Amino acid sequence: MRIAKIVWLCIFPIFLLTGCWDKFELEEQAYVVALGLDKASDNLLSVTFQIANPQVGSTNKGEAPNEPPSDSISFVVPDIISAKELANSVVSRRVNFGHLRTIIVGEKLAVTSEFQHIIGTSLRDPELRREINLIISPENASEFIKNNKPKMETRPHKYYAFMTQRWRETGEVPYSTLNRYYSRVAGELYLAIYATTQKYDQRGSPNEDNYLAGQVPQKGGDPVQMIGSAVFKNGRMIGKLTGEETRYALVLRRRALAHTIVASYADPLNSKYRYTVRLVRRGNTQIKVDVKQDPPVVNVNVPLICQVLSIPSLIDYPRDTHKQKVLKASLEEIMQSKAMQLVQKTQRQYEAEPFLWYNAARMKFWTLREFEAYHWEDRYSRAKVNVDFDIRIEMFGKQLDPARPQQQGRG
Amino acid sequence: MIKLSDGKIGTREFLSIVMFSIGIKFADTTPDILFQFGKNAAWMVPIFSMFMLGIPFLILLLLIKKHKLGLMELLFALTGKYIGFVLGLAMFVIVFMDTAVNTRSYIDIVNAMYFQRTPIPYLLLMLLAVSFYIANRGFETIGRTAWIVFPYIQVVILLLVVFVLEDSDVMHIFPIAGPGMPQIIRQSAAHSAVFGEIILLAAFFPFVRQYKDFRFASIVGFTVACLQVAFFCAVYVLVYDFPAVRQLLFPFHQLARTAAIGQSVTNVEAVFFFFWVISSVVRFSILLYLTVFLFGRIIRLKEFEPLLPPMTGFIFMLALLPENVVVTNVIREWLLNLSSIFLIALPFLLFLIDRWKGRLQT
Repeated sequence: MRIAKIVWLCIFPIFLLTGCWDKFELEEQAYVVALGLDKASDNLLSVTFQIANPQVGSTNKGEAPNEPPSDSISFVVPDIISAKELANSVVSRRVNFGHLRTIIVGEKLAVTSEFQHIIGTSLRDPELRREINLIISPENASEFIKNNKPKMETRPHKYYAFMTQRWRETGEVPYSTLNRYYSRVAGELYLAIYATTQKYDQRGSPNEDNYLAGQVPQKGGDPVQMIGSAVFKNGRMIGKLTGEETRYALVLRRRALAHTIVASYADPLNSKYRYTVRLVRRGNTQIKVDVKQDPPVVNVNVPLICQVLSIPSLIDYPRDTHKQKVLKASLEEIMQSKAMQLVQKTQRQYEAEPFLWYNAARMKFWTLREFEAYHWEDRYSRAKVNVDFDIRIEMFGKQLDPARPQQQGRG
Repeated sequence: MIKLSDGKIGTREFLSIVMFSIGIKFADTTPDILFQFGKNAAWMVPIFSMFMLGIPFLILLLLIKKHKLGLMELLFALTGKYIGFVLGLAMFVIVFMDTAVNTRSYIDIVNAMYFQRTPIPYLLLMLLAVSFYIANRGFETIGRTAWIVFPYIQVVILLLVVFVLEDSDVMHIFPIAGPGMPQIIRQSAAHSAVFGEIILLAAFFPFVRQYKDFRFASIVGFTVACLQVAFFCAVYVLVYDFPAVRQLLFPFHQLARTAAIGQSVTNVEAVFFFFWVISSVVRFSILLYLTVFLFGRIIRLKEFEPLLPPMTGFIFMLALLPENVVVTNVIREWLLNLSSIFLIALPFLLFLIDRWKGRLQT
């Protein structure tokens, strides 16, 4: 009995070594940090991998001083998973999607109806996570990856990680993950990040956020511009919104992912100048959908806190409550008219909404079948929409009076 | 004071046993089944099932209180040797099949989400071997183990909810009735065996110290377990929205992959997987023990524990039969529908016989 026990004790730990089939050595992995998808001929897909070189940026860089921080390879294959296998005919290490955070899709592929299925089928692979960010670029994704050589970020994954954080703060691009893409593949509009490494029509505009990617007048710096969004309906791209429109689209949604808007608006008392404000959400945007009427009535109320950051016109807003009222009214009016322009654009051009108002409409129905029978997207394109901004001017920065040169001379 | 172990368990141990056999079901393939018919209102199903099984269970409690007997003894005392044998056999078959199908579906999860290259028989062997190891130590050990790990598991799964809070939206729950109330209620009844273990666990009554402990632990455990499953079904909808939630398998594990602590700490699913494996092992040790216990009782064996190794072997072989997770789910669905009727009807049947016998005596 005793011997049997000892034998058992010796044999049992062997079973604890499970995972032998799935073990992998960190050293033998090639981590893909960005994946590019492009349309190739004959229903095929051109897949580009950007593989990180973990040695660069670490302390033992000295062992391999001439290696680049990342390498990119492209293949023409039927789907993403087979590309992963094929990649191993070139890459010495096992290609691993475990740390993949970004998928870049060329616009030519995004406009096709197959795009949805390409992404959908690859989600079966457990290595592909649903939180991967989706970026749409007007040029080919392979070109985007090749051109994207950020100067200050040696390691490519850091670049994407930091950029995601900035996007969520500014709201100039939407927060677009595969998970969100997949919950909005039906009639509703889905917004994806729009970015490019190319320069288009670069004219300065007084509205600093009214650009699409590639239009921002920029000299020097990193080649990639990320601003604006690609609009998806039924899983394929049908249009794009500028940075400003994207911001309004996000502000009209019920819940904000904590972004603040810093933007400039025309001064109501001196039209030569523009003042700059920071707008922060005070709470959830109130959305009321009246489905009893036909066409339905949508009432939207956006509560915002406004922080005035600069007043180049030198008008004394901080101390004059009457002028503050004028400022507030003009700000509300400008924002309202811009929001309404966007709403009308979505109603006429896309016949669907990116504001997630379907959630509020859905609330009014008892069962799914009733909601489906209502055909929200059709009704929305005819709906009467009222948008109100409720702005509270909270502060004027840390200076009461602007510094005036003549006053200083007198004093 | 160190009390001498009497092989019996108290309130907290039995409470954890109830929680591990029922409350952990949100993390396996149960939500997949619930979402198929419950759609975005799948979270209501556990609540309805709770009432549908709760009433028969309360009746069973009355009988247990009156006779001070466990479910199996009660069965034989009330229905006699032959009918008792048939009903007991039916219960045994339910637990036996349920254990086999469930081990397989757990292994399907592990295989699909974590270890794709490891052969299924090997994973199955590991799970059953470890569960057997605990079950073999007797019921007291199972209860103690369950109680030791219970708080950790609860804390970890609550943490998971906190981590995914950012990705969820309350508005996804609407339209509130989903496929419509009649459909939900009808299907909740047909699938109430999802939580049917509570009836079967009454067989363990002789192992619990007092009737009071048993009553408290089973009622509280059952309610909390059902609410927990309901809560998680709601969380899945809040994060994934309908219809996307219906298309994905193993929502708990996909949720664990979504979880992120801030920006830099991501890919934390291994932590949740670890705790999930522990709870699965506890769950299957309970089920294994229950299978053997029921079998021992129907063939009137005093010493039933030596049956554990062969029974584990049978379950292992049976669990290897289904080809993939879809087949497993179909079998499970079929088993659920059948056993739902049986488990709801059984306490009523016993109650009627008890009444009838009582009248005969007076």
